[in-house]
Formats: sequence, structure tokens, C-alpha cells
Amino acid sequence: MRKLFLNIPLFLFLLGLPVLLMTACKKDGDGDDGDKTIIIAAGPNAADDAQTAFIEAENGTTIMFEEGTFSFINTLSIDGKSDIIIIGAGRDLTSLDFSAQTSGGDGVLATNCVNLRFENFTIRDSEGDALKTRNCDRVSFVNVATVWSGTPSTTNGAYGLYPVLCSKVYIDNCYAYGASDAGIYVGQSVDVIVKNSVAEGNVAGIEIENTINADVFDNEAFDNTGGILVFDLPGLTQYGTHVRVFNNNVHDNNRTNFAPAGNIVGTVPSGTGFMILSTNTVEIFNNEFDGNEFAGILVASYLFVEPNPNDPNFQPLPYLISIHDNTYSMTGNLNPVQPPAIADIVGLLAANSYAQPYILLDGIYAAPQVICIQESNTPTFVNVNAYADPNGGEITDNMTPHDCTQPGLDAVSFDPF
Amino acid sequence: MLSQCEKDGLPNSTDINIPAGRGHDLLSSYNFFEGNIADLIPNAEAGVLPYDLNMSLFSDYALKKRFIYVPRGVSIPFDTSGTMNLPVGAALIKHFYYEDANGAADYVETRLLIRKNDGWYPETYEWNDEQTDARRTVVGGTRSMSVFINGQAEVVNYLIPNQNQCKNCHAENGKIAPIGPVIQNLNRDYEYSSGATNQLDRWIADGILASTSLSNIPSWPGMDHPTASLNNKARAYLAVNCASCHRLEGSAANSGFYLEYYNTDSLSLGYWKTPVAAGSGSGGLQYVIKPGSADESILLFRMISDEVDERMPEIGRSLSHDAGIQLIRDWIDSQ
Repeated sequence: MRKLFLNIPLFLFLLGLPVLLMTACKKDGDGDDGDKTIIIAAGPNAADDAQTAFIEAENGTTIMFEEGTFSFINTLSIDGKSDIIIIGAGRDLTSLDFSAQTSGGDGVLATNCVNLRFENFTIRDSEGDALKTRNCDRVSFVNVATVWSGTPSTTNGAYGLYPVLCSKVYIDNCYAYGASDAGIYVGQSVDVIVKNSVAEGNVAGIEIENTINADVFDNEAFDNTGGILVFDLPGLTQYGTHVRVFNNNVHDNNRTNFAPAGNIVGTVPSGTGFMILSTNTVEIFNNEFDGNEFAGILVASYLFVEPNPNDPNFQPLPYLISIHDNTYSMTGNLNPVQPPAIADIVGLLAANSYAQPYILLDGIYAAPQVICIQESNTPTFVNVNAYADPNGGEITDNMTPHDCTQPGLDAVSFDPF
Repeated sequence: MLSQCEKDGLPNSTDINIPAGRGHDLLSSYNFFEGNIADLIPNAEAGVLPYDLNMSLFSDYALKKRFIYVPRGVSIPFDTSGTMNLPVGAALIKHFYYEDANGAADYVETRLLIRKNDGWYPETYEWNDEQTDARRTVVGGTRSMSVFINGQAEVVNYLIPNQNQCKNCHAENGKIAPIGPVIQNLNRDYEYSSGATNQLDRWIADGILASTSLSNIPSWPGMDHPTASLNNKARAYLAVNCASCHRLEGSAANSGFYLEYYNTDSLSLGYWKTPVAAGSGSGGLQYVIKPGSADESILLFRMISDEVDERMPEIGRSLSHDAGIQLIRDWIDSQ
């Protein structure tokens, strides 16, 4: 043998599970259109069995991972299918382990699918993103965890759950730990619900970016650098709008920012509960922001980190931001390790004898009343007014210019898969 | 066991034999080649033609032989605006191999793209150790191959892609599509057995490509083009190596970073563009392309890196391409 086979897919495939062989022999149109299930058992050939099933499954198939750990060296991918359920035996029982991955940018990748659900398993230690879905319509993540083992590290993958360019995205009861960018990240998508989920130990716990119509509620985000982020960035396929963030418990997000430099999330201050960057039409209400020692809520412009967005269609100034009926507390100390631009703000506050406030604005907006604040207990507030002078213009703690209201946004409504 | 599912075609027929359903188990069953299949002598009688490209995709220093089959009586429209629109029944055949120190070929895989009524279908064939035929694979795999780079032997964990990974690059608006056959990249001479001729002239003469009234057919330069500008060479390299994904219709549409040859929009070309979802692929750098400073440009960093989550292209490369890196370095530094 002149060649070394690192794996022997064909031979093992021929010896593989009877259920897979039956599928391989099935021709289009064969059989009933009822429930079809492919079971993947743990074992030395499980990775090839799973990838084969992901390629050959007919529409309407449930692919079931049994209890156990499944080790992959390559991205596990599915493309162009409809009505597929990928389900494990439970988040603590079924683990897709990518710690030995040698190729592919993602752990699990789904593309161009319609009606797709991931349920009841954990993805561990992928080289890049853990679970990416791109160009999918009606994609659900239920009781799925994405985890990078050990102390969160810059070398971890960027995103845990990562739907991008998708529609009708439903994330329920998921868990994300250790992502070097965002644990739960929804990008360039339309109609999104993120609820009942927990994000811990990431740079950003939950991030909604360049996304239209999103409801983020009943989540817990803690021990991240920033708890929940709603961002708009230039130069992408769409801009975001219409996001509601409510009934979330966002606490103790003081982790030192460990994002690889260059990424926009690397500018998020350690100690941020909720942050808006350059987006519009966002309603933040009924959340608890406790122990986020930089600010409970930070509203900023992309211009603060990048003065020239280089995209004539991009609106860097946030507007139609409504903040109401949230609660705040701070009891601890600010993390002294901050991104460079943020350290400047910290220094500016200190120089002006302001404590870190519950609500902090960078002041880069067209007019004060694009950001309305109505809290029952008046929060501490600082506007660093960076628009007037990037080096610190008229820093102020006067919140009165933001005493306005905006109509509540409609709920996001769709029938999840 | 698989052959119970489907019978292969007649082995001695000289007609091209493309099954309606899934691909044959063996590459030889298509009759794309005559005689000993390992000699890769195209079935000229049936219309299989070898071809080459000006600028080619770097795939871990794998060598490639390319063939095209277009059924008699139909022709490809002459269109320089994108990838050629091949007719139903056509096939593209791409053979990947390495050579040992003595120049002996070591075949790895042969990939097919087959144009059927409802679109393109990929098939991958992995060569056996005896090198007597190649067998269909769905899940692909990794093979350890020896490669000689500047006379130095290195081992590459060559990735034979699974069917989904084919589409990672071969995608256009979510459908499988060819990448290579672009008029500009085919516009060059080829050493046919009958002598050297411009490939497009030959295809037109053979009737598989429609004729054109264009007097000056555009062409992309190859790496070693003696007179082409640095810019044109770099843009051709990026178009061929990156733009199948990095375009609005491709797999990396979400990046907003688009490298088609004719893109002139500076932001989507990466100039002063901040990364979106790069993770550690940013290399700690601020911009995709920082004009004048290749070493501060993420584009070059990701070409150099061999880390799984940093390197680009995302699949099909585990070694870095020294000549390509030098070209793009010079190009960015010259901006």
C-alpha cells in the first residue's frame, strides 16, 4: 500500500448499518411518505454513518443520534433538504465531539434547507463555529448546547449557534458556553425568536446582528463580556431593524474580553449587560440588569470604533431606541482590563467623577430623542457625547433630553418548525 | 452489496454512459476514457476533450487533468459574463493526482460534475491502490499523500470532499454549479495530439462552443504570464481561488467580501473592510485589505495560516501556496 488510509469510509460503509444500506438502495419516490428515521449509533464508524445519512436522507427524515459521544474530524454537513429533524437522546446524553477536527470551518453546517430542526444534543470543541445554518428557511434549535471545554479562550470557535441568512429562526431552551465571539448569534436573518436559553462564558452571550424582526426574551446571560448585543455592521447583505429584548435576566457579565483582535465584538466593554451598535427600532423592556459593572445598557455607534464605515447605504447612527421598565443594580467592581477605546471612556468618567452608570450613551446620534428612556426608578446615566468631540466633549449625566416615548413594537410571529 | 441496487453500464461500449440516477460505482463505467483507464486517454470519438486553465485553484499542490464532455449536436453559448452554461448531458471531469520523486503519478480522486435536466450533480471517485479504477464515494475521506515542494518531500492530509463539501465551493444561489469553465480562463493554447491550438478555437471548430463575433476575446492571466499586470494576475488568482464562495451568489455571501474578477466596489473587495464573523481568522488584524500593507491584511493572513479555523479556502487547502501568497502580498503592498 503506497497510501495510508486515515479512515476507510467505503469498506466500513459496506459493513455498516442495515438501515443505512436500505436508504442507499431506495430510489426517489420509493416507499411511503410517512416518518422515516435513520439511527446513528456511537462507534468507530459513526462519523461516516452520520455524514452519509446527512447526504442521503430523503426529505422528511428524522436522523437520530443515540446516547453517546460521536467524534468527528471533518465538518458534518447537510444541504438542500426539507423537513429534517436531527435529534439526540438529550443535551447531557448525546455529544458531537469535534476536538479532533482537522478540516472544515464549522462543526455542524446546514445550508439551503427548508424546515430543519436540531434538538437534544451538545456540540463540543469545534475548531470554528459549532452549529452554522446558512440560507435556511424555518430552522429551529431546541435544547441544543454548544460548548468549548475549559476556561473560555481566544482560540475557541467564534460562534456557538450561528444561523445566518436564514428566516423563521427559532431558538428555545439552548445553552452556549465559551464562544470567542457570540454564544448565540443570529446574523442577516429575518423573523427570529430566541427564548428560554442560557449563554455563559462567551464574549457576547446573545447577539442579533443585521437582522430584521427578532424577539429575544426569557433568556439568562451571565459571565460573558457582554450579555445581549444588537448590532448593525456595514457592507453586508442587509441591515437590521425591529428587535425586542425583554424579560431577560442579564447579570454579572464582567468577563475579560477574549475575542481575537480585529473582530467588532472585541470592542465590547467587559461588564456590559446590553449593548446596541448602530441599529434602529429596538425596544428593551422588563429586563433585569444586575452586576454588569461597566453599564447595564450601552448605546453606541459604529463610528465610535471605525470612523469611516465606507458603505454609503449604512446608517451608523442609532435611532428609534426605546428603553423602559428595566431594573438595574451594580454591586461589584469594574473589570480593569478593557479594550483600548473603552479604557478611554472609563478614564473619562473617572476624570469627571462619574461612577459607571446603569445606562451609558456614546452620544453619537442625530438627536437625543432617537433614544427614549422611561424607567420607573431613575437609573444612573452618563452620555459621553463623543460625537461632539471624540476625545470627550460635554460629558453629562442629564438624562432629561431622553424623556420621550416610542410606540411598542409588534411581537415577532411565525410558526416554527 | 451496492451493485445490487443498480447495474452498471456495458463496459465495452464506446458511447458515453451517464446514468439517470446516482453515479456508477466505478469511474470506468462512464466510458470517458479509452483503453487502460489509468492512462486517462480521453474518449475522443465520443467527444471528450482535455482542457487546461490559465489560472487554476490551488489544492495542496495536487496536479490536475481536466476534461469536458458535451454531447454531439449541442453547443455552449459564448458568454463572457460568467461561468459557461453547459447543456444537459454535459460532464466536467477533473482528475487529482500527485507525482513521486521519479515523476510517477499517484492518483487520488476524480471528480465529475454532470449536467442533468434539473441541474448539476457531483460525483467523486476515489482511486484504488492498484490504480486500476476509481470507486464512487459519498462521504469522501482523508488520504495521506506525499508531495514534493521545491524538491522537499512533505506529507499532506489530502481531503477528498464529501458530496456536501463539493457544493461548498460549487454553489450558485444555493444550487450546484461549475466554477472552472469561464471563457476568459479557457482562452489559451492546448497541446492536443494534433498540435497546439487555442482551446476556444478548437471547441468552436468541434461545435461544442458557439462561435463569437468578438474580435478580441478577453483572457485572464496565469501565475507565470510574462506581461500581465500585477493587478490582473492578482485579481485572476482571487477570482479563481476565492470568488466561487466570495460573491453574492456564493457560500460566503454573508461575509460581504466579494472577489469576482470584475468587482470594482472597494468595500466589498475588502479595502478597509472590518471582519464580520472571522473569529480567530482575523489574526488580530483590523482590515481585510489594508492597502499598502499586506502584513496587516486579513486576506493574506488567512492565505498563510494552516489552522483549521483560520485558513482560506476553508476546505481543499491544508498547505499554504507560496507563489499565491507572494502574488497577493505584492499586490496589496502595491496598492
